[in-house]
Amino acid sequence: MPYFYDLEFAATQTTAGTPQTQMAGKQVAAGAVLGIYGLICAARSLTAGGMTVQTKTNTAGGTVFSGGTAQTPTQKEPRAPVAQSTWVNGGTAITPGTTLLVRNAVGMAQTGGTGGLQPITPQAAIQIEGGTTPNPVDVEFVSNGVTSAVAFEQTLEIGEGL
Amino acid sequence: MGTLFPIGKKVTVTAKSSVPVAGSGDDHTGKTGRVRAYTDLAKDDIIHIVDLDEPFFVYGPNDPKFDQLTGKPVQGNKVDWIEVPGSCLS
Repeated sequence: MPYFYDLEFAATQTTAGTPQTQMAGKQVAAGAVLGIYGLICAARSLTAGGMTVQTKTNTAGGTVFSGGTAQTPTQKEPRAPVAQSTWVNGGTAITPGTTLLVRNAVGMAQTGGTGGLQPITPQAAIQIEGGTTPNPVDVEFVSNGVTSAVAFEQTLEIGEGL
Repeated sequence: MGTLFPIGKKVTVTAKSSVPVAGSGDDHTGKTGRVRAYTDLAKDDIIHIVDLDEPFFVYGPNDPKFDQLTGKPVQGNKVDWIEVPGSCLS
């Protein structure tokens, strides 16, 4: 069973129609397998419209994202070890990686309809293999919407190990 | 670098990173902690993740800086690790 963790970020889609990297994570060298077990988003705008959050992985060999504000995953089980993977949120601008592949996208209503995704089994989760150089090298979450200045909450559930 | 700064070694940040690594992007000179892990092993100057002795606090773009009811300052989000290139550590 993996150890499970969660991360929550109060994000803003500041500019209409422009992809913005809101969260990003990577596994450390020789880290455990990292899986994305949940992505949940909910907005709270007065303006009706659509938003999406894409999950992107950065193909091995690509330049890893940089910048961001460090965020520590919270253990589901309080006595679990701290997460090996390292995560940032867009509190400070994140510079995206270079060889990104869109793996999925979830939609949400700007006025509050929640969107999200959970893999049907652990094997169906997007995974990052640990190793001397992790593969893929990172995973990034990118929002887009039709209106500017939309506040939304983004929650990630991650697991480490098999 | 891995030999100079093995995991668990106590380190001090001695210079501002020239690359925008995580940890709010500020100048972390003077902060102390222990090497927790490495990233970017393919690069010459390995980035070290340092667990800080004294966490610091930052505000997200939506985070209030003052409590709306009491007016007291809100602490912000705790940052308890940073990424620093090996060349910025001693």
